[in-house]
Amino acid sequence: MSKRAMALAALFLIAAPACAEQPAAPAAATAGAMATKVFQLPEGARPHDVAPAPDGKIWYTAQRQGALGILDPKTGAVRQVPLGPGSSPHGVIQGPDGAAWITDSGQNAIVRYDPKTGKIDVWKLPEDTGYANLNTGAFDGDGVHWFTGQNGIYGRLDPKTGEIKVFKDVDGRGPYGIAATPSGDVYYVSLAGSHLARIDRKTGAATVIEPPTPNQGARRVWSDSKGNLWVSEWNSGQLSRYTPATGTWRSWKLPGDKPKAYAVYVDERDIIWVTEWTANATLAFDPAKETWRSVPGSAPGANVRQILGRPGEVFLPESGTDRLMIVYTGEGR
Amino acid sequence: MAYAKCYACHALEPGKNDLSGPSLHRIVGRRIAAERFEYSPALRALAKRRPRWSEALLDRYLADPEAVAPRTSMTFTGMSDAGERADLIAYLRTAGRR
Repeated sequence: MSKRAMALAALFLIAAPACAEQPAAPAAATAGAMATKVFQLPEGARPHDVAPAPDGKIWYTAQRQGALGILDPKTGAVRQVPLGPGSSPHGVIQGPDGAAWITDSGQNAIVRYDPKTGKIDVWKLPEDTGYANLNTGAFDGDGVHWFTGQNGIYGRLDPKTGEIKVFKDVDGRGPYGIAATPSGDVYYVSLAGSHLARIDRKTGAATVIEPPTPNQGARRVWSDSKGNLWVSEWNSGQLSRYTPATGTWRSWKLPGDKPKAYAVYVDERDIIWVTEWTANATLAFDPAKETWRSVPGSAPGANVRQILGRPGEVFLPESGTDRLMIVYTGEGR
Repeated sequence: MAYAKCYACHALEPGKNDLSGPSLHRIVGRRIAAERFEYSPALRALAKRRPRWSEALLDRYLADPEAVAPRTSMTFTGMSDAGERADLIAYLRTAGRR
């Protein structure tokens, strides 16, 4: 299936007024200018997660259409690869093997798509796991794929052997975002459990790390270049940082009225990107200056649920508009 | 069981609306978008067209949420098996009495 969907084309300059410099307090987004480009995806795709693909392409999960989407931003061409019966893919990342690794809640399976051959491999979760509501995956430093399931599990898949092990989260429902640090350690967060957890790569045991704000709704997590964990807090509307070296936390309230922080991503400059649903915007936070810049959604209800990128580019899949926005940060181009 | 597909985002306890979705306590027959929850514009629009979650409406919604509430922010894409939907609705009706 090949479908050509063209970019909405325009390069937009983003500028937001006002500034504030109070740390750890609500602040307005600072002025700034970033070029963006918006691509139309197939109607009804509902792109949930996104990841850089080889050859400059971009992968996204077409959650409602049970497919992996492949966008070529050079031409705007889009094609979608069906992943299997009942597929409803949530997360996608690029593995160390250059393949797309997908957490497919519909198939209750981890799915691998090889971009060189087009081959699709499916690893179903063990029968006794039940429906896991698979969420997101990350590779540790040993090449093992770790994943979360919102119904209360996390697990590991060893690509070398195909062996899957599933573990129960201590708080039950909630495991959501997961990320690896530069040293190869893996952390995940629990949205319903409101915690961060560090996984012991050898035993699989998870050590819960409680954020200081109760019931904050830790939805996603990402690591900066120093191995600090950045957490987007859905309920509290905060962006929080956990520093493993000292065991300390620090939180910043997002700008605006009743903010809801959904996705978080740290780019190669250690700028923190976080989506804020109340304002229908994505914010770029500079922790050194404690300033915010805002990139509005391409239309109302953009509903960006995850962020990823590569040097010089940040990808924003708009699940509510069936679009994908690229923000060009001015680096690496 | 079918409720497992709802479990991550919806509680059954009354008033527990701090998950990704609102509580499903007594959802069968309940007014649409009536919980203390920040519903999407799609659900608020549905509430203006249809006052309550009848079993028939729930069945249609579970089969294809987008068809009933276009642009709903719920990411669940639907339950194609009519028997599974019937089991879920029956369970929700029973759970709501607790």
